[in-house]
Amino acid sequence: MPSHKLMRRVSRAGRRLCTILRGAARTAFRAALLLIGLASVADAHAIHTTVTQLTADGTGVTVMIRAFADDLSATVARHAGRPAPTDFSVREPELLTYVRAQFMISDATRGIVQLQSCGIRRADDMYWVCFRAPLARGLAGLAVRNQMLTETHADQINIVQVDDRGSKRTLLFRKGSAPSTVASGA
Amino acid sequence: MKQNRVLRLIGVGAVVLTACGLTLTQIPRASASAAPVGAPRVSGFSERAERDVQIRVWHQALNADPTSAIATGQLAGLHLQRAREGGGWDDYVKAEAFARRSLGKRTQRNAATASTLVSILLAQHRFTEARSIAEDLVRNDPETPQYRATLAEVAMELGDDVAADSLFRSVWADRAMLSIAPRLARWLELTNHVPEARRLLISARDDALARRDVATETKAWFHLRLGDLELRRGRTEASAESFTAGLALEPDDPRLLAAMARYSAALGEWKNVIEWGERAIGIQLDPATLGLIGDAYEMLGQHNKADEYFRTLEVAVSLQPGAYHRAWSLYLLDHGLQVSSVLQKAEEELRERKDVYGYDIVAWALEKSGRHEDAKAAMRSALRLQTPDPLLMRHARLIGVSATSALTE
Repeated sequence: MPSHKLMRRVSRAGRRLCTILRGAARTAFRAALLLIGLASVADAHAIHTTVTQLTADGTGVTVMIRAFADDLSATVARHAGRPAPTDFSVREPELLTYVRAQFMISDATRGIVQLQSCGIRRADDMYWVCFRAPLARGLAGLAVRNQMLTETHADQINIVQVDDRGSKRTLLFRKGSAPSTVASGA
Repeated sequence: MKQNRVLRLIGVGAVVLTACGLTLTQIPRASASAAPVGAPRVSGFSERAERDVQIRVWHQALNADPTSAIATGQLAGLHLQRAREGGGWDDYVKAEAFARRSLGKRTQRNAATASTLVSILLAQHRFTEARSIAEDLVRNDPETPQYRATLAEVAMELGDDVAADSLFRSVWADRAMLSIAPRLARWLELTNHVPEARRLLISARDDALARRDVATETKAWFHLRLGDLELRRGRTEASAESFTAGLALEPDDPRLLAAMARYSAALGEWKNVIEWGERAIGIQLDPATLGLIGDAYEMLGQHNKADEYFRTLEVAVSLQPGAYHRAWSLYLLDHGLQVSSVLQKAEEELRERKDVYGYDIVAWALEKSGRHEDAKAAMRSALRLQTPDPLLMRHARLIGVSATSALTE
């Protein structure tokens, strides 16, 4: 095909695409007015927090820790003596070592409960870190201490929400907080 | 040159159109594979996973054409929306960076991105910067009522009542527009026209619910706005109905869960305050909700538990730059915590932002500092619009300033 014909075709295709994109841009413009234009003054503040769900069942507890990827990645790397990755990635062994150093469950005899990893997942800006601990006696006498990321942010707040077969309780941890007993009424 | 531009445009278009097609089929899979078995959703909001995919798609488009003002503008809007849907502070930072990059490439026919930037700055309480951009928007396109409403909102937040009043009057004929109604309703409520504000919010909520191009988060937000208005009017049943309807749309919306905690507090149902509040902070930590839960434990006689919440609240707000959020300031003042620090921050904020709630905080902080006459003067400024808010009325009564606005309709 002669080159000028090819160029005309490319040009026509380009114009059609421009029309499509202009339409998309107009739609995006309207959507922006709708979705964003509605936004009244929001409450945007940099609050440093992790949230942990500690769920008891008949055989033990499952611990699911949710943390922002940027903070967790940088802190785990620093703990391992490496520079912070720019892509907020973590090396699994380093992450597990870090969490086991900063998140602890002790039993009634004050012995440290061994946490077995049950998976790490990242979804964009969040990590979930899962642990499982078999416990024959349920939550009786257990205590939790969560100091994750407190070395990074002095205003770090770690929330641990306990679900003991429907009975719920929330524990709050700041930098230097002592362990809290898990069972309600304890 | 021209050929290169056409080819680049083809590249961006192909990426977006292909990826948009894929988006429709991949959302459930992306969501499911993102977390371990049994993990909660990415956040409390139902369309958050969709937003993550949209952001990835537009990043691919940006990779195809790193100079695209459209792609950067879209990414600014999407990061802002994700921030509203439980994303972190980082989403606001990214949204602003993309918006500025887009506007750096092109200001002509890029007003949507400028509007996005105004919202990003408002969310971060950077009102003076927001005003400058909103003024540019109106100057360049004075006929678009949405831009005038945006500028009106900024003026309202800055306490420039004359400008706000004039601009809001100019959009009265367009008050049914979804991007104008909630802003105008807030101004009507502030200026003691509550029945009109309620009618406008109800109409806007119904419109939003009927539309397919409004995010579920935003639909829930309309229920929140209406419920909050009703709660301020003491119409607790109507507020609960509104919050409950919002939760039917977004069951894990931390703003609505916290609103239910406030509703329960209004009824003195302290166990419910704790239950709703703890659900809210389990999704997104808001220090004001920490304070509310602390109050509930105090009312139930569990003083150690209450102290734990009070101390956590203090730590959570301790390193916040600039002015404290108003609800946090009030909480600290009500409990005699950091009074001089709150007063200093509130007075600093008042230099730039002279709205009625700014004066209310200063008045309350002055009263708590024992400066009674100064508190009275500030309280009078807080009442200048006759805003029928029980919070202002309570402070006025305790400070000893007569409030003329009626609390009943």
